[in-house]
Amino acid sequence: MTRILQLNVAVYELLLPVFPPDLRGEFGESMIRTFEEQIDSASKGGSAAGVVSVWMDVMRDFVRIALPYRATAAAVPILTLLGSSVIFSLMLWGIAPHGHCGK
Amino acid sequence: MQRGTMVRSTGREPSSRPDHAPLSSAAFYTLFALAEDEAHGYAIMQAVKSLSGGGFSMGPATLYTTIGRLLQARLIKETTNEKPVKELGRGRRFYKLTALGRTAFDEELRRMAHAIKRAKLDNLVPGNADGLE
Repeated sequence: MTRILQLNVAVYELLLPVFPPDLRGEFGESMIRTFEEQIDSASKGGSAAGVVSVWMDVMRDFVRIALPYRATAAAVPILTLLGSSVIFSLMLWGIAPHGHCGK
Repeated sequence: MQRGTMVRSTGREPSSRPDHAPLSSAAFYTLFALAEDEAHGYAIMQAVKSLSGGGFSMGPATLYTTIGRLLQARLIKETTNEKPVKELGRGRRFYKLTALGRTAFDEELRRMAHAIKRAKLDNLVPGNADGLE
């Protein structure tokens, strides 16, 4: 394996954890192997454009698959926290003495 | 990956159509790549690029998300265990079309052919669209 290939594969392996765990669990090794073959083939062509094109596809993967997954995964605890805060605030507002005191 | 997600890209079609039509571009080209012979992930990617005339490509995550969905829908099956050890290597897995996958692919081609025929009748197809470049 050439140094360029090693470097690209190492960066891809670092990026892999952002993808959904069940995809990585089932196909992680195959994803790395396929990426390695793509970079190997692109770098043998001698042009940087081929390698850039492979990375563009990886970036599209990131936007289409990793980002929505991460957004959904982050949304659940955030919405839970917001929901709890709203309920807690309403409860506090309900039991707190209000400003319209009579004579 | 969302297990059980169907490979269609839009809503449900009329009742006579297979449950998977219409296919997403990634699913269609993956079936197209496997229509002639079984292949591993990288070979599927190369075939997809060639079959689409360079107009469609996908990264490993899109490819294997699609493969996962097609396996789930039983449109393709894995044949890694049937291959001799010398053809295998780390992470290399082979897939082939099932009979159901062939039917879904044929149906999709028919649907596309009908759309193109209709577009031609309505003079909506550009002059150079017939030739493969």
